[in-house]
Amino acid sequence: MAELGRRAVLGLMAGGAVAAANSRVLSEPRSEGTDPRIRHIVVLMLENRSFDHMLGLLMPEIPGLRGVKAGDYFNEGADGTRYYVTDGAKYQGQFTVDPAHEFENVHEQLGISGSGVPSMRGFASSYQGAGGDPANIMRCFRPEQLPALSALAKHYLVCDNWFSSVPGATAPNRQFAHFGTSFGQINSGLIWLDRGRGIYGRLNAAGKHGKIYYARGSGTFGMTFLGSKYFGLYGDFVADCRRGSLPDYAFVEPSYSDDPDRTIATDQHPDHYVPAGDQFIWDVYKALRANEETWRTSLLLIVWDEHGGIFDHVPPPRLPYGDGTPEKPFRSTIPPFDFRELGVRVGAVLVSPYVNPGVDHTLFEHASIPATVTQQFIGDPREHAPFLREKNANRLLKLLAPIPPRLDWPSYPVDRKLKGARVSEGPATAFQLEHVQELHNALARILPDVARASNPAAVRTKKDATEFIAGAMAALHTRAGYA
Amino acid sequence: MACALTCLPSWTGAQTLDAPAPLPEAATPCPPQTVAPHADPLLRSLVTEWALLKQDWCKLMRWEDTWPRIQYLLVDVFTGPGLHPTGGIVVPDGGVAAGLALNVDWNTNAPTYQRFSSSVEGRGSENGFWEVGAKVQTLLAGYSERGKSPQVTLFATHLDLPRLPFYGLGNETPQDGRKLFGLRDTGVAASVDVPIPFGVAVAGELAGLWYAPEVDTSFGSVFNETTAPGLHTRTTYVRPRVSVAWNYPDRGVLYGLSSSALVSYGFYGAVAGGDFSFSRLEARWNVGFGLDPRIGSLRFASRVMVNDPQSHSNVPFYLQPTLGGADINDENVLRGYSNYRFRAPNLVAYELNYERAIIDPIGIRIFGQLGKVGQHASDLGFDHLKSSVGASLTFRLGGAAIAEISFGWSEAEGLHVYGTGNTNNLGGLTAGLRGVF
Repeated sequence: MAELGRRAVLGLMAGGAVAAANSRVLSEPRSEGTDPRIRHIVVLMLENRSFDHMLGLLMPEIPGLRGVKAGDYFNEGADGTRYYVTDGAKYQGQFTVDPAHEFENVHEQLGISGSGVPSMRGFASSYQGAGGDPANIMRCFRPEQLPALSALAKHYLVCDNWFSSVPGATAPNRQFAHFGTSFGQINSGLIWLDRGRGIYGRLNAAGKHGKIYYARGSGTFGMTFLGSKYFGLYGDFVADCRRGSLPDYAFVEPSYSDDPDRTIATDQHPDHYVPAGDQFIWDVYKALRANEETWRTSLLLIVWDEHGGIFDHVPPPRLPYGDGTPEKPFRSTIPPFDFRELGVRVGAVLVSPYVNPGVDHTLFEHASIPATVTQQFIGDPREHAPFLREKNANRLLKLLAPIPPRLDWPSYPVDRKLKGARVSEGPATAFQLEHVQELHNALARILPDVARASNPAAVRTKKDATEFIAGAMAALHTRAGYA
Repeated sequence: MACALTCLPSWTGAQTLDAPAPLPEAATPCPPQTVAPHADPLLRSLVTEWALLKQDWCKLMRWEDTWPRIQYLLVDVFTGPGLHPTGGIVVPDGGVAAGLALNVDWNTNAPTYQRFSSSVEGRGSENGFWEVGAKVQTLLAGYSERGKSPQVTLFATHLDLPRLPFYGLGNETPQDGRKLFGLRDTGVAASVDVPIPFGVAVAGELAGLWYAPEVDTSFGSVFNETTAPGLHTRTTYVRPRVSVAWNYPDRGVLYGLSSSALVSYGFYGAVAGGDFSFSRLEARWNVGFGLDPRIGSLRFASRVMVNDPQSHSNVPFYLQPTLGGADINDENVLRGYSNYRFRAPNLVAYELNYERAIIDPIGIRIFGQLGKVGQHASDLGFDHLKSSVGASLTFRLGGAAIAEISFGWSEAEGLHVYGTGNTNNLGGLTAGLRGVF
């Protein structure tokens, strides 16, 4: 972040930290525009898990989260047996048959009533019809089963109103993430030859750079013909984070298959081993934090491409517009679809040094990804995005709060060794000392009693600085209502 | 629910909720298939696959967007659990092969270490080469080191290779001295492969191996036990093998410095067939440096193999490694020579290549290769190395070459053309590709 920008942010903090308390449950749209603090937007898109399945049981721990409690909802099986939403999701082995999630399956799962309103009661019978155990489709992970996701969700910002773009499978939904549209297709295959370069080409034309990082064994979904300069492997992502050479936009793909070279699938697609994906989430976060400058200038979105046939209780909304252009809207005739209907809700966690902990209810879908990137690096998507969905998509930048960069770490018990390792001995850097002083100044304005009790001049080592910053941020968050 | 409808900002040109979602009531052609649940994994795999194929076919016929529907059909025809057609080769010079693979996931509500996937595959070629195999594997996902997990594999294979070329042993064999021999190769093995920190993986394997060479009178009139040890001998081995592999960085990279190394040691203890026990030590070291694809990447690869017979023993000629074209494992070394061209108990090979994009997805690679075989390990010096140079047109996907047509040239044999490739990055179509071979 530019020096001026950081000071300006600190100047805003007195009001921002308090105002943030109000955005904890309902995020008010802030003024649209670029955020000078953000130089890198990183998206990690996993596979085929619904919001309730991954994050729903965090409801008691994140006030305002639209999740579930055991017994809140049920679906009926083919014989009328009721299957209630509950915990008990297992890491692997409950989806012996991959839950169907093609267009026709999702419509069955939505359980459209006579009035045309989704009842969300067709998931169990859909899975039963496909040969699976209907009880498993209603099960959710307890937060402690997913330590990385839960830690990041509690420490940063959960978007609990994020829907997949199309009530269908991987391909159209991932196209919305890359192109802001699926070009009118609800069932597009995985070879996208005639789509152009999407957000990556748009960035390139604007003198910016976007890149897809993938696992060597399983490759990248759909974007393989994009062009050599737009790709790196996951190891390149780690190195780019460490060196501070991340591109403006980075799309990270997990490993999609268990490979002969012992690489384990990290995409969390049923029936892959879910903790491997959870560890991968932490790895991506950890990579960003390996370089403080990279971290201070980044925004990471963790999101799933679609629900994978697994239960969620929130009916997908219908938009007041479709896709394509007003003159030439995208439509499917067989089967009928006008692209106003969103797919099932999926998990989305926004991780950045500039978000406050909590939950945001702004409506997002995958077109929000290229819209956000466009907004930040190119210009107003209403002018620069080609099609309606992306033009109108809410952007994530409005969720960034006017706070100093958060350098505190989430509580992640599996990796305490790492947390200890980064607090290395040795004298504090000039940047750390400056940051300490700025935080102390902010404390003096907002929490003068805390400021009087702390002494920035006593900070001498990296460990001192880390502890001072963590303490100051904790005090500020407490003041803002996040204790 | 109430909050879902009300806790949202009003629409001011940005997305918002319009109304409780009224959906089109129009009937959707090809409604979801119903599949009866099956406890038996094999039956479950087959009926699920059948339902998917029926649905794919229905949608291909009745839905819009034919090309995407064809892709989905191909995905379900070639990948995932169930019965699938397979293709490729059995070994180089064996012709084009095709066959079937049956993949079953033994997924139950069980701990990870009790979960197995199994594959059975058979394929035969136009030239009469064929192979069958079965593999049972479990990835112990409960432990992972940098994205990799321990793997336990049990496998059995049988290959019938009726006509393999043999030019004699050594570096100076005449090209027109080529004779053909047959080999039946059967093996059963159990292996454990464990990743440990710092990019290192250790592996251990115990195998039982049976080899049955078949030579005709033409072959026998030229070669004998001295010039082709074991030509009339069927051998049976018990082979323990250990290996250590190292990769830097431990996650793959396209850019910057990368390196990998492998050292393996196996002892072929002959339990039947005569004095043919020997040990095999193999080492590989690769190093690469990748720059922007328009500038290119440079890679150096090296390999040495030493087969050391026990006292009074020999290494059967059919187990001695080869250089030239492609070897029995389809590894290309000295592309300017014929497949299997040089054979001896010991081998050393080097390659330096440079690859870059020209116009995506086309790239070019230029390469130079050196190598030779030797009767003794001390023969593997830098003198009298065979050489081959050439160029390849590469097909690049995802920023890396995944297939290439190579034009290899050597002074002795002139031009040879090879096609090579892998299934990485074919648009996600092959993420579920399985089988034994």
